[in-house]
Amino acid sequence: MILEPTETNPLTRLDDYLRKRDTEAEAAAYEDELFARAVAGDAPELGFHAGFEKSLRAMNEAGTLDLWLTAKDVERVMKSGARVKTIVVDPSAPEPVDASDDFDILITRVPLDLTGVRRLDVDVRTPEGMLLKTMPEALFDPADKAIYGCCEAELARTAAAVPSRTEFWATGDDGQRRLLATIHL
Amino acid sequence: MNTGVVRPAGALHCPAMRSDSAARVRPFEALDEQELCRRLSPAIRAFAHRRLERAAAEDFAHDALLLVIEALREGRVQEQNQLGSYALGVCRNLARDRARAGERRQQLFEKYGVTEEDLVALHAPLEVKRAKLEDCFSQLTQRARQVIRSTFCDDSADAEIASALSVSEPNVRVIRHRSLTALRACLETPISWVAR
Repeated sequence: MILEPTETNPLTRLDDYLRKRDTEAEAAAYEDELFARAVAGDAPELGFHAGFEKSLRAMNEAGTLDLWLTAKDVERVMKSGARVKTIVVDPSAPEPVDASDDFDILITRVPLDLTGVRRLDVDVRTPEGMLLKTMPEALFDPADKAIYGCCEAELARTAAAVPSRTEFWATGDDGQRRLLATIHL
Repeated sequence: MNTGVVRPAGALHCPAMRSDSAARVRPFEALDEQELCRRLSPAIRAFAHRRLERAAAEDFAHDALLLVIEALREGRVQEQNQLGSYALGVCRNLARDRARAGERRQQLFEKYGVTEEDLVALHAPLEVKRAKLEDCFSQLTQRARQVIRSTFCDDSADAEIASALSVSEPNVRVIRHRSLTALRACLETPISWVAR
């Protein structure tokens, strides 16, 4: 699939500049404009880009950038030196998550039969059914017979503090999408 | 003899050798430029590491080696037995230049009451809230996550990403731009679980 080029906005223009997607003449003109805007406090994309990259790299190094992991990824996180709390949330008998103790990372193992599943999407809803977020194409390994949620402490505590309904939608080889499991917490 | 192939020389890499004969000077019969670079590189690195912290030392070593290569290409060093002292001279001159810049910096620090820590703090970007970033990143498609990770965490070039994902380079750019825009918008909203 060929996507149409995005329209230029300050953030994507900055990205093109950093990746030398422009000519030297265009870059020189852009620098004049960028520095003038920066001095005027009118270049928020600069701060966002730098901060975003810094946080992204830090989380990637910690192994917490992805919210869904395979068992192999979990092993790596466990060896990272961070304080890792592991729990199991069985969709058939979910227990409330206690995130009150001291930890850096919460790993939640959700036992699921993923045989024949090609794609897994996860929806989070309010108990009444309002969609809060969709996490498309969650990472999983069918051999694990489970998926693993990985949250840094702040996100884990935020999520644990509010009632929610998590739905696991599986798409199989036949292309059919079906509800694999629901967790009410 | 020169193969024109860039070979690793420890942590340093000699720049690619040009194959056009007009631009090449062959001052030494016994050893080619790349081999000379390989031999000099550890000495230059040792010189740099004795004086500078790691990142600055690597930068220094690259600059020094480049100046040595320039001298070789321009035929300023004709004898192999002169090259060691020439390279050391390059290192000493470069160190003096940097020391002068350092002294100048120290003078400016003292004159204006600014410290190294002040500069570090000024340069430090404000981090994005990690809980939000994790929340928002998880809402991207697998391909978008891969483009963002490869770009910002692995420093991959668009061509490498395109090859890994079996898409075109322009497509990688479009995916990255759309993902960046979506992430920025998402990061400005409350965390998903409380956005009700």
